Amino acid sequence: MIELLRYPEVQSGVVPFIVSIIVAFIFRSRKPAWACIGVVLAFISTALLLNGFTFLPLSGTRKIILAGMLLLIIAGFSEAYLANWRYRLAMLVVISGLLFLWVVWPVLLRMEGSVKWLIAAGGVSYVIWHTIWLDSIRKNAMQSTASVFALGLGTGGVAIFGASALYGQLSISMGAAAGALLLFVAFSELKSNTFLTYPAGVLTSLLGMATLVFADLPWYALVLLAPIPVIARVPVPASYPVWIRAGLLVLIVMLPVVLALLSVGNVEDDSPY
Amino acid sequence: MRSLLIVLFGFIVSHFTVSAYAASYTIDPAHTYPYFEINHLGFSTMRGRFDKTSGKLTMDLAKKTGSVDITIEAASISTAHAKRDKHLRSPDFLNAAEYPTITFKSSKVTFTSDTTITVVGDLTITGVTKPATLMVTNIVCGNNPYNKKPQCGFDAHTSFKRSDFGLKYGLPGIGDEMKINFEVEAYKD
Repeated sequence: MIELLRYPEVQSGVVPFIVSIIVAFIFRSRKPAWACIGVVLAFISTALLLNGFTFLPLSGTRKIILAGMLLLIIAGFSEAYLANWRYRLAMLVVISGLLFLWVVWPVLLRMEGSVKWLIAAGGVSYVIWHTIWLDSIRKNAMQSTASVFALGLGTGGVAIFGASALYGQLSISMGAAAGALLLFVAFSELKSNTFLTYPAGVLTSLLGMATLVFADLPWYALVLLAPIPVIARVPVPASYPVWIRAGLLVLIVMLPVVLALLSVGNVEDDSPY
Repeated sequence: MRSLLIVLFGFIVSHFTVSAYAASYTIDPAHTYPYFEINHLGFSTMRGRFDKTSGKLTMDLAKKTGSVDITIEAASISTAHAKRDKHLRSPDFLNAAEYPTITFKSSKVTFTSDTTITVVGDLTITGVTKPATLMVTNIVCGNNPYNKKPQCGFDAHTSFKRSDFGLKYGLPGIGDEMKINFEVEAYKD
């Protein structure tokens, strides 16, 4: 059994899927808004399987894992205590930008010339973009879960094909966990995802930017993934059953993923493994 | 008496010849390359090289003392396969963007013969420092026949478990045990 946990498919596919299913099952009737925290807990489970409980030296990857734990607390706090949406969003935006700078700071310091500022400005913008757009759909469980599903698989896919299997696995774990949650959205009519959008948006965008900074992921792969939370707002016919609407929405949000994978696949044509 | 003087003269000459190399040296990056080898999926031993190395040595062959301070640029890894090299530089392995150097700093040098040394020191990879032992052989000092500069050279090797440094990607398929062989040349400062 322990041996199984060494397989990447189990670490970033099976384990997060099961964690998400269990958490969603526990909370779906009593506290439906909490059902989605399984996605972040699934990410943390995969991260601990890959990284262990060692956090020193504090590398960028370990900072992202710590951020995952912190973001869940911040999301809960902001939902509970910040009723004014402007203040809440402003706080989340500032924290998102600071988290990105914290993760890449040592590398940024070593960069020279305009590249440093491009990476800093581009990265902060990318993370804030996801924070704002995912926040705009946080009360629509179907749109936000489908977005996280596509962002997780997309970021993970481009990372694996173009740069780093580690970041690929971490991102895919979020996609797998969001996939499990999507089943509850489609078949149990789970409606609210307020705790999901902020941590998941920041984590997937941090993982994408970290792959760019630490592992040379081509920047255009992230540009192609960026429209996902915007496209998720495309209306699907309300007359259709929920599971068909969820399926249609997944197909729509996966379009940028396919484009991003093709863009990275064109650059890299031979396997190093 | 005459033979005693000859012996004494011989001792003084040899002492000064050796002492001429008791100094600090700067590594010649054009003739210093660390080569690594690691088992690949149980099928073969894969080899690669780091293209950029720098550092300082001190050596006193007469007093049998010395020190070694080597810095390897992690991003200079080369396995004759561009995509694999990119992967080896990524956080899956060396995380070269965050930890640009691999270093070895000696703490204890033991001469086991005139041409072999055991160097105990700290090896740092991806920010993790562990003790390591460098076996140095074939130490030769003299003047470079082309540029006439005094220099020393030697071969060295060490081995370690990459998992000790947090490099766990691909285990156990890609081997845990990693060997590094150096060829080192250094000019006297």
